Amino acid sequence: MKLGDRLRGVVDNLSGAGETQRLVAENELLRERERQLHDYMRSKVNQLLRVMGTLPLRAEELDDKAMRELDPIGIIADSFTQVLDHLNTTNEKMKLANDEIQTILTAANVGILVVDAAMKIQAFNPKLREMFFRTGTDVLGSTCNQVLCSQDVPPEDCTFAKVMASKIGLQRQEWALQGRHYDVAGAPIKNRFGEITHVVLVYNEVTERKQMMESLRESEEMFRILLENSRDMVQGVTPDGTFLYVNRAWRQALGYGEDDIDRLTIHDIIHPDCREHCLGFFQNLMATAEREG
Amino acid sequence: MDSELITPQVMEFDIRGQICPATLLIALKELNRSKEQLHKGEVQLVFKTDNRDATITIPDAAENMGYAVSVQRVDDYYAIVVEQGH
Repeated sequence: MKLGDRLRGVVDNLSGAGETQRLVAENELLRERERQLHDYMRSKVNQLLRVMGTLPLRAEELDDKAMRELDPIGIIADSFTQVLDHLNTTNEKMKLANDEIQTILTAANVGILVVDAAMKIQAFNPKLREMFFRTGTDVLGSTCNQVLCSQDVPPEDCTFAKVMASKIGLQRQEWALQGRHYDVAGAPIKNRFGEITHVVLVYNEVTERKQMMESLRESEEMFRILLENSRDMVQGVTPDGTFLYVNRAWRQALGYGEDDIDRLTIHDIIHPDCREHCLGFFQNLMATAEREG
Repeated sequence: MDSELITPQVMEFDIRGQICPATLLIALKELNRSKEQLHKGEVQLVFKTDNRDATITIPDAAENMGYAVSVQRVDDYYAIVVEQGH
């Protein structure tokens, strides 16, 4: 260093100009750091605001000083705590609801099947497994018509297809599979746009009931044939005297056709002299029947 | 005490003239401050705003926190009512 420069340095130190320059430089550095810190805070606040679903901060709306005082990060952090608390509460409620649904599904004495809109099996209860999937094959994700109906295209009377087409729940759809008969009910599950995401199908086996109904129908038919061909006159009458049934012998003996019966009552076929006696007998018969239950 | 029997105290905040996100931040600050009373059904917060965005951002945020929210049009502003969730 030349002698002149060294002398200038000594003079500067003595006058305090060097310290001033150092402080100015340090101040500039601190300002830059503060600016960077505010930029970082603003970017994080904007990121959090976007998560909350709103717009970023505008510098003209909230300057750096106001931002520090408002403490948006603190506000949003507290808000997130509330959101998380609410989510936890909701999750607990949903878990309870899910447990309740699982219990109902397990205890139900009807088969319950849940399929998605693409007809793929999403869930089913033990009763449905007992009805259709006794082999224990994993059918989740399989197409309903393939594993249940054993065919590549859904059958014409497919309840799922009817629910998808009508977009409403359907009750008591008759369905038969391998000699067994079922009442099938279907209900859609829709998303918030009203689109069907899943269909719940409930299968109630009615094979025995159907067989009993068939037996009863056959018995009634046989009984009707017996009555119809009997030589005795047989009639069925309601308490108000309307005819429910009369057999052929009755119609032939009294000279009425089948079409006449609907407009006749018991009073029309009793001779006036016998009416009091017959009605008394009829009322006694009714009273006895009522007493005996 | 049965919360259904409580008549909540109404606390009004007039934030007309403010726009998002300031409106949301103010609302969130008050929701945080009054959360205990809100959950107990003791208070009902009413934010008066003329900012249309706020009628979406404030209800969305408050519902995510589990509160019941309704928005009513009153003259030339909106009243966003936040109260105990169902």
